[in-house]
Amino acid sequence: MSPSDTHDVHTLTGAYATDALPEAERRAFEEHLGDCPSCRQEVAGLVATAARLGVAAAAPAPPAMRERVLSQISTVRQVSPVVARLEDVRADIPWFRQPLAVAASLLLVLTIGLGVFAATERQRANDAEQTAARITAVVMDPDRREATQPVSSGGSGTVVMADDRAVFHAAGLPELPSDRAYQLWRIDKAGAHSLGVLGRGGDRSLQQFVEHVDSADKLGLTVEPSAGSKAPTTTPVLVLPMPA
Amino acid sequence: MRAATASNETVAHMPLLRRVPAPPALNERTSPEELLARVALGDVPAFELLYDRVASTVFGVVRRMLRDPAQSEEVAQEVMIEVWRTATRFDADRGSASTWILTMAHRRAIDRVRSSQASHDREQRVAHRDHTPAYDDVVEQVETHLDAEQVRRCLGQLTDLQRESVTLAYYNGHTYREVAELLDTPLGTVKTRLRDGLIRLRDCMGVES
Repeated sequence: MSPSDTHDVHTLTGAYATDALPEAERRAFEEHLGDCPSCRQEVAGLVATAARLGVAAAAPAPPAMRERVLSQISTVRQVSPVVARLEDVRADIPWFRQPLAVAASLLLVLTIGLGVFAATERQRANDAEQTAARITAVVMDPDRREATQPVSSGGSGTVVMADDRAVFHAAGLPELPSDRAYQLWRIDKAGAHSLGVLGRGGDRSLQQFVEHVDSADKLGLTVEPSAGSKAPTTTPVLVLPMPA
Repeated sequence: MRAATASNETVAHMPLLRRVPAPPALNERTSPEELLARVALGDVPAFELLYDRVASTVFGVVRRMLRDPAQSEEVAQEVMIEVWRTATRFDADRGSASTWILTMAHRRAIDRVRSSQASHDREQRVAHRDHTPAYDDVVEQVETHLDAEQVRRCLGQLTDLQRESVTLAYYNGHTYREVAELLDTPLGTVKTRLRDGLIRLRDCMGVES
């Protein structure tokens, strides 16, 4: 942008919000936005205003379009801008402790693109990514709360909670025989509700993402048959109140 | 384990926790932001609801600019799939879901408009002034929509030059240089009219800035 233009670069907010800048000028303006908080604020308001103009132009979309979109999305992979790799999440180090280090080590920018997978493969990839992304969101939440307690049989359990979501992590647990597994429970006034069978412990730490937890709930960990139980059948090795 | 908590607490009926996300039921009142958050988790029913909420606006904006129905449908379809694909990146702190989606729709349509041949043809048309000012057309369409009255009223409060600049840029997808050419007005004037016009619209519509 030439010097004669820069003094009135602020007046470009309107042209920018209406997408009326040619590509090169748009890029230059976006660079300027990076250094100009007041411009960013004005642009946000004007972009929202322009969108209102758009809302007013509504016209019924062809019904066939709906069918096509819905059938197409089943073959379109959703981008995962930031995800944690599950292997990293399983690391034995107390990763809740160092959110910034965690951010640096867990964050992985995925290739963006339309990926078409076989249905099951895609589903599995999606599930893993979604879980990892949710775990990351909880662990990185600025308002997260944490609590750690020793496990009576050895090792310790930690819960990180943000809103009604939580991540449970336990490490250093004694390894169970192959027909046994640790099972996690959410305990409320009505009793214990299974949150899943987490594994046999030992070298592998355990973790679980849970939703819809209340700060009055507790998490419990018991040793169960490897298929899991409908209700706890042994005395919990850990009862961990949700962090206040 | 029950004994650990139930000893001196009243047993109350509590909803069972389901491990798979089992969020509250979706309905027409679920906000687009909430729907988008669910879409980001791969929730197809949420996407269907969101589609029903925004498809007509997306299609309307695109068609307003491209005119050609088949091309408009193609672009609108791309936009809706893009919404699905990139819902994971929507950041509610940076604006509403509707703004996010419509901005995407507008940009896509603009890209189409400005792609090589189309842009060449359009420049020719601009040069030959075979152009009808868009305002009446816009108002006519706008009147059919719920938000029409407010937009129409607010557009009506602009000066002619502000209104023409805004509608030619936003609804017709012209660059500000083209707008200047069309309105036979200096570039600097068009820039400021676009900005002043939008600021007035913003204030008139009560958009938070």
